[in-house]
Amino acid sequence: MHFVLHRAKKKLQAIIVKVSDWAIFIGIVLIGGLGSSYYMVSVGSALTTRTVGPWKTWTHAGRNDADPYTRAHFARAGRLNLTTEIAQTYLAGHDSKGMRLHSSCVYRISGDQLDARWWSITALNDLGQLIRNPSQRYSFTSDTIAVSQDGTFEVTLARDARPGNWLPTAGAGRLSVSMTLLEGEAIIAGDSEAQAAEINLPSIERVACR
Amino acid sequence: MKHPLLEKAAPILKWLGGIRINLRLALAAICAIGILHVCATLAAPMLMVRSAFDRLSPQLPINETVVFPPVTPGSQPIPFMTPDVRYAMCRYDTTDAPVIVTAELPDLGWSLALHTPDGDNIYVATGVDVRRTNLRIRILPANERFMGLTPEALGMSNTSEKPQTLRSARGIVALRAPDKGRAYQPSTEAALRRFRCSAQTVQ
Repeated sequence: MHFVLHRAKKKLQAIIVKVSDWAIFIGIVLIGGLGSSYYMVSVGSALTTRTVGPWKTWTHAGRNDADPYTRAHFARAGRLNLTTEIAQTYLAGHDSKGMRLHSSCVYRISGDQLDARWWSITALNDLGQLIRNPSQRYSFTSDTIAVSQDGTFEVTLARDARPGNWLPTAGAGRLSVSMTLLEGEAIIAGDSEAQAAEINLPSIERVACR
Repeated sequence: MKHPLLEKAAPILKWLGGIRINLRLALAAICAIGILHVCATLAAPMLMVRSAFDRLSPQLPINETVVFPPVTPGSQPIPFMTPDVRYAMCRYDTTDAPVIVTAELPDLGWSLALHTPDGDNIYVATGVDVRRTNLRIRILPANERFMGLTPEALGMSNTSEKPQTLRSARGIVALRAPDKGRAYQPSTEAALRRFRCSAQTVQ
């Protein structure tokens, strides 16, 4: 009786080992396959995105020859982008030092005149929704922004009113800033990283936090 | 005397040494990860039920133009749709008839783009400085059903000003007008309202 019990125990152990091996195998495959796909679709890589300072853009957004990651990213985001052959939309979720943008802080976005026929900067929350504010300020464009005499500009993201180009951020939590360049020099320059390094985009500095 | 860290690590190293990596299983796992990665990525656009086309479709009657009010937090049809641009859109469907689109791009920053349901831009035109650009586009279905049956081909329509022809079954035509400030709003609105999109009657 004792021998039979011992054999059954051994058999059960062998089955458990085999089942756990398969469970580990399936777990690794699921986590590896789905996780890597999710990362490449939501965050992107150097193959699909271009990063300039705090700004990131998907290099083949809206194009017929877009790669599967870009297609999946924009289908998931539910955005309707112009092709990058015409316009490039950069998004920033972090400041120039890599800290997450948050409405509890004040930020200064400053830059030289941008090399584009038309451009705009918009403050949004991290879901891409506009931030409600009584003064109904949501974005500045190359036509509506106040530019200084030397051609530079500054936009302040803050909860309370500020002089100059102020975009209210009160109550938004995590922020993202969208910048669209229509027919910019970057587009004419092409896609290579060397040329991308020459793109002159504004910096985002954290001024203060509460 | 052994280093204390080495003493702590010894059992872990012993346990790791006991693990025999089944090379065939490891190779199979890598292959399976790759296959799953490719399948999940390719299937993702089809599994997303809330693409931009799906989100905008309820607001856009087929082959009719809709001028959207200025984008505000309460009226933002799709994420990242920003108020720096005014939009007029038309959801076209060429199943029953070709669709004719006419639009004018009065200035720099204006653009007309055709987006497929997948979000691809199959056509885009932009405005130029000072000069007004008039566009007339005929969208034909992807198959050849309407070949030679256009009003021009039948001699029933003016052939001197031929429209550009594109092939697409359905999608969205978006006319984008840049926000130039409050003073320009009436002229922008008027230009957006001149945007036309309608099914072409073929007899």
